[in-house]
Amino acid sequence: MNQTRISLFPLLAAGLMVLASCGEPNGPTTSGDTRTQEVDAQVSQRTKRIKKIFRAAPTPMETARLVQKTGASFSSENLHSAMSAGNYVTSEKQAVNLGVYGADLSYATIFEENAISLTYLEVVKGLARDLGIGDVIDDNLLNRAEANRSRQDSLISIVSGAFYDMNEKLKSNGQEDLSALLVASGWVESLYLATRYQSQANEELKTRIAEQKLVMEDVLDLLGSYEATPELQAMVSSLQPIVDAFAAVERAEASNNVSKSQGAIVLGGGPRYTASDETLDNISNAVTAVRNQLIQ
Amino acid sequence: MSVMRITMKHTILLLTAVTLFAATGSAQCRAFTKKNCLPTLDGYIQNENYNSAVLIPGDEAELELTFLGGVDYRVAVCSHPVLGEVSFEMLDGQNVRIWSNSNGDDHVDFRVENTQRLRFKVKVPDTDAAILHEGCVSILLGSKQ
Repeated sequence: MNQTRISLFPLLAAGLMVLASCGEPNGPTTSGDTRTQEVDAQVSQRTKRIKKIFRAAPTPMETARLVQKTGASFSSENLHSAMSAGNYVTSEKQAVNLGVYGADLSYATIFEENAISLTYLEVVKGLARDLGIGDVIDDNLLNRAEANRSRQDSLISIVSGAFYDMNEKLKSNGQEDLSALLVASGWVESLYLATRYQSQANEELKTRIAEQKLVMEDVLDLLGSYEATPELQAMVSSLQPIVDAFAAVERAEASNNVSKSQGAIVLGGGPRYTASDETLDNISNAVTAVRNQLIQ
Repeated sequence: MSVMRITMKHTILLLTAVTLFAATGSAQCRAFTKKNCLPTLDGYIQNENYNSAVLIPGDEAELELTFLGGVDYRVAVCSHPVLGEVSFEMLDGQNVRIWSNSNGDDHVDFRVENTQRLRFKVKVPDTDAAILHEGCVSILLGSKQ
């Protein structure tokens, strides 16, 4: 009986390997290629239905664009020093600072500081390589960025595409925790940069900072959606001063009204977020403390 | 003792095969999304989050996140044809349905006046078929100003 059971293992394993090897497309195909569709689909190994919950957050690039629209200025002195990138030796620290440098790169790109963008892209490449996802930013991508250094739209597209690929690769490699750390630290850094000129901030920038309370909730949900590793727990704990500071942001409820403009849905109304100058100062101080801890 | 060692060896081999099998499904989903889905965001800057999963008939997927005021967004759902026509709807923070793809659209374009959280629900249609096929489903986000 035992012998029968033993002999089934290699058969089953071999069968699974054959199935697995059959599934991978061999070469480039187009979206309408029926061969690709046949190869991509396979009989499911499970029958139980699931509800997959995705967690995500607005990116530093989106936040940077909003901040720029308020008339805020940019100073390279606020960025994390590119010289410090070699200081991070654990994968958690590398992921955290990949997020930080990624946000710096996004800000530099949005504010059309192209030379700085290219420098930070090199830094990001180094950290990505250390994390084992370096193939995402290869020489071809760097050459494209260099060739398009005066075209902001192209640079934005290249940077966003690279971070999408890194996020995808980390998740596909089973390193969701690192992907979540990257998103969380990127958010902290983008908020840090947004709050640097708070004393001169106009009402629009103040509103944009107050609204980040919602993004903070996205980030916390994202961190909480994965298995609670010590590193994820440490990140949640380190964000607590920011959570406390945002508690004083006020929310006024209002219903949405839906209309259409040029084929797009427009959601008018909706909740409004406001914060006093004191609250904004507290947020700024808390973000500074947390950010400085993350880059240590 | 030697039987136990052989069993263990084969168990490790089987686990390796299962892991390889899962990784291949994930790699397929990545390849499918890149080839067939990302072009839907043409003209928009893709959000950096990767939201794809291998689903079967009857499965659901949900994405909830914050959309910033004054930004133009496109949210697209892309699924493998083997799954049939997936349903896709957008709800606001008060759970009011704002939009659904009842006409078969694969994406929705919108803008919010005030920053707020929205939820997207995707459902793969059920089937009576005896054999369940699985396929990749991706929710993609793009923005522009």
